[in-house]
Amino acid sequence: MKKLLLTGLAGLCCVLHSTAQVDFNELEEVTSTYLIKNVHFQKSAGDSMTLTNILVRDGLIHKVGQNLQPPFDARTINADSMYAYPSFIDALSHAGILKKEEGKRPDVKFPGAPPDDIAGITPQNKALDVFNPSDNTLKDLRESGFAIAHSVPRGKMLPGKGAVISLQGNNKDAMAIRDDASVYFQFERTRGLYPSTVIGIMAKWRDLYRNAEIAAQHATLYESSGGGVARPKVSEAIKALVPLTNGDESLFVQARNSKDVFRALELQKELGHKMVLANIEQGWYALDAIRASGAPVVLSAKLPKPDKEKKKGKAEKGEKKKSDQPMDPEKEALKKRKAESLKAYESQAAVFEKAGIPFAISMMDTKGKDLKANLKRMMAAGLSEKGAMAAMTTHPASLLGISHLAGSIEEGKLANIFITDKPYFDDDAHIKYIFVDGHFEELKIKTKKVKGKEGESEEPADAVFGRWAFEVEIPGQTQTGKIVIDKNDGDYAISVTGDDDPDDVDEARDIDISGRNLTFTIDIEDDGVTMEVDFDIEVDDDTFEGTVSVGEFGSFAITGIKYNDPD
Amino acid sequence: MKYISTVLLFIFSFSLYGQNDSGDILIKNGTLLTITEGTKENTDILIRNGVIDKIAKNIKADNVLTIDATGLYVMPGIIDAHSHLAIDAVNESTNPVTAEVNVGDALDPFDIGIYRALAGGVSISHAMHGSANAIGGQCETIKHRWGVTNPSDLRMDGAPRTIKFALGENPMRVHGEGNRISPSTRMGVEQVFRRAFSEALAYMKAWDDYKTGKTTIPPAYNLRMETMADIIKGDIIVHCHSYRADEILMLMNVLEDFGVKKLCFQHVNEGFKVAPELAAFGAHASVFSDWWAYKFEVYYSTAYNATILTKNGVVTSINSDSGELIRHLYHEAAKSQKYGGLTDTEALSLITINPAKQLGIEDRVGSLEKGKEGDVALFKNHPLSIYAVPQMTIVDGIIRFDINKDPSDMRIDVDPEEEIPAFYEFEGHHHEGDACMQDVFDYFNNEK
Repeated sequence: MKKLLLTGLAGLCCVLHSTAQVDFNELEEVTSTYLIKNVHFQKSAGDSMTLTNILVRDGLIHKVGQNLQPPFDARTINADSMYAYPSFIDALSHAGILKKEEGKRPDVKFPGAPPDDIAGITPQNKALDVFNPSDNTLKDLRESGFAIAHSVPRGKMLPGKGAVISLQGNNKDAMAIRDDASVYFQFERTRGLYPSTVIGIMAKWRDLYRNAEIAAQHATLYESSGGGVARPKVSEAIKALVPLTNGDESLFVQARNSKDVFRALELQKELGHKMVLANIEQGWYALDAIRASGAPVVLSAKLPKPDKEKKKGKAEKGEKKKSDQPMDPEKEALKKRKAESLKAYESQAAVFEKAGIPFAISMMDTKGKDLKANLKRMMAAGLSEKGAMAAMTTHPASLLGISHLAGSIEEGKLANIFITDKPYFDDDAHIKYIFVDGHFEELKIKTKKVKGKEGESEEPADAVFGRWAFEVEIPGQTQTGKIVIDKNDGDYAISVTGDDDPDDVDEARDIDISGRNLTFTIDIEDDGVTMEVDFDIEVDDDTFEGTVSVGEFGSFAITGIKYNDPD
Repeated sequence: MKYISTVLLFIFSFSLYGQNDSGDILIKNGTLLTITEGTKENTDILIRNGVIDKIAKNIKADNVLTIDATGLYVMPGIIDAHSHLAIDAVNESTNPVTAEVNVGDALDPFDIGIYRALAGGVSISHAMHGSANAIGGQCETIKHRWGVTNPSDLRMDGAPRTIKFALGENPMRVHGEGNRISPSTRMGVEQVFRRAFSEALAYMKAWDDYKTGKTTIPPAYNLRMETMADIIKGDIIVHCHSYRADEILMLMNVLEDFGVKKLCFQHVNEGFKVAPELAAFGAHASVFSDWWAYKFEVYYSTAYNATILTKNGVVTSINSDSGELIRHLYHEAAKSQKYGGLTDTEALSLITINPAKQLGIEDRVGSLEKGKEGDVALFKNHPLSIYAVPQMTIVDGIIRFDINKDPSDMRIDVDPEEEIPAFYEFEGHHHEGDACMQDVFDYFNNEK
């Protein structure tokens, strides 16, 4: 299995840098004009739903009104009793950004002064340069209601500049709405090389910023002198930070926990650059400081997992025995504190809303399919529906400077609309149609059995168990192998092998089977590096489809066919 | 909605203890160990707005939280001149000189070690950078305001800046052996200092030339050199990790050459050999009570170190360098009575006014005097007695530890995904994970 994925991944970089190839199988769209008829629509976050027709033309929302007749070239989408919403905007993530395989640790003579690129200081890098339009994360976001993402490069302290990207297309330059939309910063140390600690990062940032200020000053002197002033000689990294010192760009600081929030605020107070606090998971401790700073806020869509309930089948047997014994009071107290803490995380969005601090939401650490459940947990903890919707639409639009283009369903804006069969926040609502940049797509609605109580899992469907042959589509090549899923007295066992090395069997962990949905993880090892590979599969009767996520490399489509045991 | 309000309440209950809050408190009828003004029996101490307002018998004050200290000993909050509490990073060990980094940037108000230190009567500690580098990072003097969530609220505002230096085997091992760069010998360590100071002088001159108009282009900014320049200007107190007498003399020579006067040696296990020289320089010494032989260069020391230094006129303190020792520094100080027979006041000075002097905060804390900050520790039995039990620790007039209100889980921040392990793995020495003790244990077996 390790060969299977790693050889595939090694090929990725080449794919990334080759120009997008023309796919002759893909047909031109027949028309770029659509009339969405009789849809309940929400113009902007918090507005009540009203019945209307929406005319989409050439990628824009051309007209919104009750008495629109379809033009001759329009395809009509009958959306009776359906609901149209402005598409979501992901305020920060690595959507479409693949990571190069991390090679051996580079040989650096002086670990205290490594070259900038090895130290993770590359603000001159651009998201678009490492962007792959066919990455599966884009599809995942699109099908979850997103049309636009603010995507930033991966890396250490200063990975590069972000771009605001339309999630539709196969030409990355055409997909870019705004290049150089942000300078991305994270408190991410470089192991064994300077800066290797958070204190090193803070010091390095002060040093870089002050030097960018001086570089700007020097450059002005040089340009206006007409000779007689020494030529400025500064690094690419420092040069790339000059627009930030002029106030022309904004620093997006990833600050998951409150300590990072406070550290970011401290740096900003000291140096005075424009700053956005992004991907915050634990910001409530810093609420007052954030408000005082006026820094725009992006909260993370991620929430901690609730205490794991026992697998249903197993628990029913085991639980009765256990309930006879009183719980250890120490464990009970800890459980209570964990539950309180969990509530604090779930309440974060509501606390910010109540404090009058507008916020967008980032998908950096969250899969598209988990978004709605998390938003609903935030709403159960007090966030208003309007607040949730604004965090997904109007707030990120204004934060990213694209309010005139996106965030609401208004004439003249980009045709970024998603249409659901029930109101979006209904448990059994599905996204049926999406318009991204005017491009129409009908989504296949997965027929899941209606779940019981929230959070409870279903009995595994029999169809899940057996032997499967699978294919993973890694750009440039297709990998094949076998998955065997067994059930043994309520315990599940899954083994995965690659066809290129059938002797290398990986046993899965964290197996979760609910109805026809199945998730599990295998660890593949290569050169002492362990990589987690997450499978998320939806089984039909004799076939399955789903995704495989490989650490930071991204996620890839997987399909499977059931086969009979040759024995 | 119901639990939103619980959450808000929860947040509010902690924000009650912000840094700017300082309390009013009246402690009645205790035995005051003032350190600087002798022992006062049956005396009251009134703290207003976090500052000692009055020390007298029978103080009357209305509407003030009053504590009956009858039968208890009341002493100034204990000060630890060497610890690594409440910081997320100890060593930026990638370079022999890292004067630009500051552990004050990595403060962690959620470190339960703060509360444990309070439970040992300690109200102030000196959160230090580690000893991996000859010139390490800047340190932070923190007040143990357990309950605050903004890291900056731990800072003792206005306390002088300090920086960590290190002599001997740690920088040699980490950089010389570890990375094959200088310093790999004790001579090399000296040259690292001399070079860094010399570069700082050149840097200062370049900026002076620019500022006085001698040059037109601003020189490149260098936070490392800015910090070295501040040491030369006398704005930063040097706290130097040291063991051997020869190296201690070496550093005093180096600093004298560059005009640096504010100096406190840390560990300084052979300090007793050069006590008169230390006193003549005006250097201070912060030592362990009776701990040595954990590395080759610290093979030779004595439990009389603190006494010998004190008797030679060196401002001496006893420190913890450990999240465990910090819980009984009063006991560590008492050892100086067994080894050397110091008086009660001399012994208590080792953990109060003397560390305050070493941190440059002796005008604010370290003794019970009118006008000083309201940092107080209450003990059952004399703090130098083996039966001493800390009862209450007050910081800026606010009770931060009370033995009678001490639930088992005092953590502020709990990870909602925390697992309950069947057992906890021994985490080892507190320097685990940084470079201070890197590879040291290899010296104690025969494999190397």
